[in-house]
Amino acid sequence: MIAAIVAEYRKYFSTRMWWVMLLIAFGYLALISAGMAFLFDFALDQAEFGEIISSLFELAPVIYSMAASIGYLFPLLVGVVSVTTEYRNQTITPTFLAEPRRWVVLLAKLISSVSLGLVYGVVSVLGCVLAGGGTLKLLGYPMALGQSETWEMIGRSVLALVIWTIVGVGAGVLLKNQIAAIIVILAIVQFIEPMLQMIPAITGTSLKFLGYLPGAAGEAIVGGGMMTGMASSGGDNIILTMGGGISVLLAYGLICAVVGYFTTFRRDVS
Amino acid sequence: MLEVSHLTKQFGHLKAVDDLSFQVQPSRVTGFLGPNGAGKTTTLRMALGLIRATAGTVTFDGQPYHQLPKPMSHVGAALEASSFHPGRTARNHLLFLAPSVGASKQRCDEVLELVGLGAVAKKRVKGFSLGMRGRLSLAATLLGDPQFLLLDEPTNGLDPEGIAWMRGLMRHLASEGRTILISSHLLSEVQQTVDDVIIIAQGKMVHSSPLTELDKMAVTRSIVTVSQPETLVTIAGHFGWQLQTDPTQPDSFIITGPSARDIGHACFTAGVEIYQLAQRHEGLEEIFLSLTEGRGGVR
Repeated sequence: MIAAIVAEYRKYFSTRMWWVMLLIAFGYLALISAGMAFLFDFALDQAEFGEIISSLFELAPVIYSMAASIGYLFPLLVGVVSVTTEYRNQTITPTFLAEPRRWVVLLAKLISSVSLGLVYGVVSVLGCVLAGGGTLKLLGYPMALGQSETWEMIGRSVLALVIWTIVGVGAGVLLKNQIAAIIVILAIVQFIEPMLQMIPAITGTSLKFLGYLPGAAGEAIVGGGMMTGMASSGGDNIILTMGGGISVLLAYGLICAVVGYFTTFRRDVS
Repeated sequence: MLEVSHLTKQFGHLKAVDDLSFQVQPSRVTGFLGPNGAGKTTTLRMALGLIRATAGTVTFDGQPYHQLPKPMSHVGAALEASSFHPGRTARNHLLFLAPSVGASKQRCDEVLELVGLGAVAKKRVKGFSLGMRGRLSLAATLLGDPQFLLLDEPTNGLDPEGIAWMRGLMRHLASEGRTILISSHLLSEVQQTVDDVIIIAQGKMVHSSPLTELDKMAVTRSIVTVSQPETLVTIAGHFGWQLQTDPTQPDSFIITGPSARDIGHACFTAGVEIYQLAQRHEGLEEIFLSLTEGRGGVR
């Protein structure tokens, strides 16, 4: 089992994929978080004095949590590609020759993806803290790095990103075909789910199940975000608890992996 | 010993491999031959657990592949498809296999040197020629110093020098007591390397013997041109010879079976005048082709 996990690490870190995607994640989140800091500052300038005081302590953690609520796409895709690239380049053949027990290979992929997710989590949060937090400081707000709730938020963001990586691996096992997998994943999280989450705001109805969709579950881990914000605007707050978010998102990853194992992963390789 | 026993693979209605049984002996190089689509690659992939057999087993010293501890240290396999990530270096390709094989980094460098890729170990596979990829496949198979080697079309993409080198290496590895199975769709490719041949066609066993015995399967053919073709047909009928007319020459026949001497004698006795009589002995490649083609028409 350990040999299979070491093999997975060596696969991750011997192609450019991991650091190119990491660099993009860092740059993208730095840009977005700095932009959001400016936007918040602009919005707060328009608001009442009292509201500014109350938001002083929340601004920084919200900016930092964007690493998870917006940056989840990067570890998700890296997770997907870590599996599909094996089929694309047929390295799945030597992989299965080295370890013919396929469930061991699958388990090794899932376990090793945790540390890959940690790397993405830490670097993504770092991008938000450095650029977003730095911008806040420039604009005269506290970076709030001395507060425990800030660190809690940072921890939650990293956790969410780790679980998104696992979801990626699960989706990759299920879909197998790289192009199809990327298109399907992007369609679900970037198009279908946001559309569904808009329904309550438009119709004014409250739809509980929306909280169980992957994007909303991911946001629940960090305490909120765009999807759950939209969906909750219809009336009831549909957001899950942190524990609920963790369980639901993890379930997506593991269910995909198990179903994928029995449908595609065990198939003949030719 | 590698033992294939009643191996069968059904793809829908097609039986790609049909009740195939054979043994591959240690200290010998065995050629696994058959035309494209005969089921060679499917057989090898079933032996390695990549494809699930519909029926039958393949064992290495009595153990199926997936039950061998660290299988790549017992069985090295290079399959036809080049299975490399183009962005990964040759050395890193071996390094990711190394933990499961139980091989050290040193061993990775060692096998790269052995196959002649030492100088490009840190180059990405993207720039490798077909021959270099073949050598890298071979390096991966040797990583665990295995007792069994299964190589699918190993000479593909190699230049004549590379083919000669591969032959030497196979002979050397067999002399160390290893069991080596090399697949090819051309007998001539492996003729100088193999001790034994296993020939399959349409998923079925056609022939299995030492290479030297294959020669005995040769059929004698003679071309003959005579003054009275009708009489020759009668003679052939009498002796039970197989007679074919030569479409290019109306008075000529191709006779399969008897020697030219027998034909000449029969014609002389019958008073038939001979204008041409030539005997041809089949080469190994022709025997191989007639074996596999003959079977091709069965279904």
